[in-house]
Amino acid sequence: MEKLSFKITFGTEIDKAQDPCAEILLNSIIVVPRQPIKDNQTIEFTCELFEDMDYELAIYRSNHDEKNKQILSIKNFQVDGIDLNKLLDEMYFYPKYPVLWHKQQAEAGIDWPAEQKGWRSWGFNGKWVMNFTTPFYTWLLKNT
Amino acid sequence: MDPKTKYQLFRQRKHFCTAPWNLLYIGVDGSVRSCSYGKVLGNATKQDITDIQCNKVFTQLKKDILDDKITDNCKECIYAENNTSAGNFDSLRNHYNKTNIDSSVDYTDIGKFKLASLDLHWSSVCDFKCVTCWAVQSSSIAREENKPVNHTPTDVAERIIEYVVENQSELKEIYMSGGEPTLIKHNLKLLKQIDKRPDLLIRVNSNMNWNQNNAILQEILKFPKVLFTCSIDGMESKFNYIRQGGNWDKTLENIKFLQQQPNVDLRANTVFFVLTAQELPSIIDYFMEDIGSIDHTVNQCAMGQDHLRCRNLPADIKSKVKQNLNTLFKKYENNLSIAGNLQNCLLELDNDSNGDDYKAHFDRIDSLRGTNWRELYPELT
Repeated sequence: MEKLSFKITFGTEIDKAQDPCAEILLNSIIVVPRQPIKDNQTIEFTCELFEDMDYELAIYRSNHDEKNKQILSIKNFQVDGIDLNKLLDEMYFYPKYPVLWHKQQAEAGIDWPAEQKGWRSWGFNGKWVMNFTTPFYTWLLKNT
Repeated sequence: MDPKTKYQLFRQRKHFCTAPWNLLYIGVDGSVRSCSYGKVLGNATKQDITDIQCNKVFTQLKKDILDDKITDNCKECIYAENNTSAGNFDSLRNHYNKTNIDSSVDYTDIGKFKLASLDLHWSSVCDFKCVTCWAVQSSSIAREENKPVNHTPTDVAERIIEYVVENQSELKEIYMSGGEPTLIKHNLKLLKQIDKRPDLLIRVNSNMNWNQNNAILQEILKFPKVLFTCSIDGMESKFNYIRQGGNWDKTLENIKFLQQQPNVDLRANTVFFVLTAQELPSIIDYFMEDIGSIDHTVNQCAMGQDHLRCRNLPADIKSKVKQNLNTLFKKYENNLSIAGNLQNCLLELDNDSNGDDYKAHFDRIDSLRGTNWRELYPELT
């Protein structure tokens, strides 16, 4: 088993809206329950990983009312104290676009892709994903 | 080896280098080094490879690397890596760290070695007498100067081949230089016994004047992944003068031949010295744009030929070259390798001249070979 300590610092920008919420899952198992996030809030959690496995770390971002400005960002991302912010450029966010707005955009000829590479500021609800394999440090060595 | 420790060594140490754990370098005289920048740490004509790999100097070097020290052995490489404004310039250390990333060796154990890269300069046999070269690395020049030809003896080469064949399971790269690799018979014997694996890169530094039915060339082309570095100093008649023994038309013909091989990538290398300084932009552009070279490296003049360095160019030409290289730098600033190499050339031009001894050097060559550099480069006379 490989034990990793994650430390994620979030930022928020809110205008007449409630706090955004985040829920963190590892291979569909909740590691951090859904909760409102304040600006500069840091969430820390540890994970025990099996060897030679594929993993998906996912952050479900929710509680956007689809009306007012509400942005949730990853300001800092660390694993075992190692700064992995550069790695965020390679990760994907899958926005859940507001249905009506998305339809209007499509009619206006603007195509919003289903996945956005490198997005670390999220103005839509959606899911952010980091896929990796274990041993984590072997994966990290090859991807940084 | 624990993956976390391996990550820490590769990514969190400033000067970590895998070469002493993974690279076998054989020089023209059988000398063994940690890499081509490193110092001689043993000689295969006197000791077994395996004994050299765990001798005192080798293990001390590994210990110093684990302690993140900049050793005498490694400082030139690290200096080259850090002294260019191009950023992220890949020096040899980074090249080997990338190549050896999957090695099964335990890097924390200074007594261990697992072959992943071969750097073979094991003979000076060459049909060229380049004006920048010397007797140590060209058998043609050695013969002209009545000096001994450097060549790893056959029995020693056979022992090395046997060692490599037995330990080839993690081999990722074979680099062949020389001399001229297509003339060095040891290469044929070795390559015939190496598995033609798709993850093994064969890098060849060639003078490009071989016959297309050359047996060593044909064996090289059997490998799925081949990278040819074409040594190009000048074009047309200037090429023929600088790379004496070579022929520009034949070089181009062979380049076209290699372009037709789906398993071969091409890159070029130019020595930056008084006779190539003015033409360097045209050479790089020609190879990158017309030939489709994947990269172009520029070496500073070495091999004891300091009097040929570009610092010794006449002041007016030096200033013009500087201007042209600055323009070229802007053109290639997004190509970190070329930009880094050009930056090194510009640094060379910042040095004060040590005189014009290069004239006597070329005059001496001309008197020996009946050539005439003064006709080709009147502005330097």
